Amino acid sequence: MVRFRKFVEVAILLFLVLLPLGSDRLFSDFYIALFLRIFIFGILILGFDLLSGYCGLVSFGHAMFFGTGAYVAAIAWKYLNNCVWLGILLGLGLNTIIGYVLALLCVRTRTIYFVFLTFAFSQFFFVTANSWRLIGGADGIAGIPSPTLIPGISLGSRTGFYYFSLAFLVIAYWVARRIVNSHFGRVLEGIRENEERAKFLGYNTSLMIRRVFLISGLFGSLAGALMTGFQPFVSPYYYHWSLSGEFVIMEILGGMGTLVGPLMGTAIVIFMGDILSTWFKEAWMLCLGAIYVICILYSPEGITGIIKNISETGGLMKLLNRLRTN
Amino acid sequence: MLLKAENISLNIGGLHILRDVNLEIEKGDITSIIGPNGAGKTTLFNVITGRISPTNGKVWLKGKNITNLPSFQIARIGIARSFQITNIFARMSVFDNVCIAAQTNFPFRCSIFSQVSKDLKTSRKAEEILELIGLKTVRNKLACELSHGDQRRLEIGMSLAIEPAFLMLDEPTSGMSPAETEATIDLIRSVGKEVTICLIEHKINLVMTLSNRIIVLNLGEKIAEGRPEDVASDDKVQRIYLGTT
Repeated sequence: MVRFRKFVEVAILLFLVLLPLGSDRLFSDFYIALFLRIFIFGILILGFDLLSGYCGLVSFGHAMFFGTGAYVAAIAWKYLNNCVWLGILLGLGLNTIIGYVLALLCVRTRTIYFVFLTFAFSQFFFVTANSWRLIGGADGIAGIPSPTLIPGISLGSRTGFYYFSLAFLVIAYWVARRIVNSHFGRVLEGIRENEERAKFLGYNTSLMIRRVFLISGLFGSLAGALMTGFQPFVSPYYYHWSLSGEFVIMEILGGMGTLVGPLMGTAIVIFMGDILSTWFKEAWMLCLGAIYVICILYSPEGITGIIKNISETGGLMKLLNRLRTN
Repeated sequence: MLLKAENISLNIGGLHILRDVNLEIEKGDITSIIGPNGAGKTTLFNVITGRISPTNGKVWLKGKNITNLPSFQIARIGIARSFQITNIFARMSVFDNVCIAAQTNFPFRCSIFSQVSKDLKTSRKAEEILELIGLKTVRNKLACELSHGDQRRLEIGMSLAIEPAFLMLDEPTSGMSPAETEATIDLIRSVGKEVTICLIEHKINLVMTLSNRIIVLNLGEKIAEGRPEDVASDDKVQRIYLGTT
């Protein structure tokens, strides 16, 4: 199983590396941008999955880390220096402080109360960003220069930034996979399954939850900074609850606690958002909502759950056989 | 002395759940706590393991005051417990269940940087435990797929895997068939050679054969304590709990 997963991982990576070669010839540059968005949200979702999927605490305020990462990068690149690392590192630094403090407060609650508390905190950020004139208020910050990798090498070209983000996605995936496979990861799953048992085995569960909350926030921060590099404009929308909600949908649609699943969920939501919004305009969220409800009702384990079911019951072979006899 | 509890009292509202309970447990003993429903047996367990703070009184383990410590620290110092209602990691494999417990013994127990797959120490320990509790053949099953009896044995196994100095079992054989009960008694007996055990039980035959000390609680008070035969012949105990013929 692990070998199969490694094979799929490498195949997908190869495809993504070669993809920009076809742009402008086989398909328009637009698809590169679409994939870029998948990479960026994918990084965030990997962190989100550590918290929600592995530790079992669904956050409804993850946009606050994303937004903070984006805003800090915007301010750093516009007013300080447009070196890409400066924006990313400052974002990570500020989010470490925010994540640490909020974790202390959020760790006191579980289940729906955790959802509401994280939601409340992210709304606090939204209102601040929306009304604080110094950081642009409701207008956001525009005119952000494109960042440079090192002085002299600009990341302004779409392909350049594509590879830059892809590299981060690969690193984020590797880090998340390592965390999941670590002893810490196993304890996280234990906390999800039965926190009390973990506690009575001698684990400081609230410390573990605080740790994963912080780590998960840092993934979000990185994604936010990359988003600013991709779209040189930030607005309070990056803090909005609907964005947090979208993360939850990506997570559940893909299958919680699998890392690969939420990545697929991200790709599906972004692709669908693109296709459906050309047909239904504003109403495309309705379709997404319907799919979400169907998913919860019939396959709570998301797409990975469906794939697992098919492969375990031999459903795929049955399907192939039927096609052959027909 | 391994564990000492002094004047443990617990009031909730105006209700006295426990009144001045004293407890002394020697190393190597198998102690049973018996008493009618609502006597405060499980509550006493909860106080000792840090799930509830007592209104009054102190608990020492190995000479260390553990009153009011958080439960995870008490577990680290050396008390493992099982619960009246089975408490396991339901959707994880039996092997992983034991591994989570077993890895607490090592410095990398919750490290982010160590990899589970390269860790032979934990798996070796887990294999030993699975062998001991007789669940080796079902190691890859999910814990929730096991029979009730096996789940309870798994919970005992997990408690053992953290290598405690003192093991507290809350009705380890509840809901078990006679055959399963028999197997569990054997397990407790063999474990008891190395670990000090305290258990709550209602099956009086089991209590009499297994333990070398019995404590009887009623309405939050300790009404008798001693060797099984002494407790069994105690008038008060017969009247309140065992019944007279």
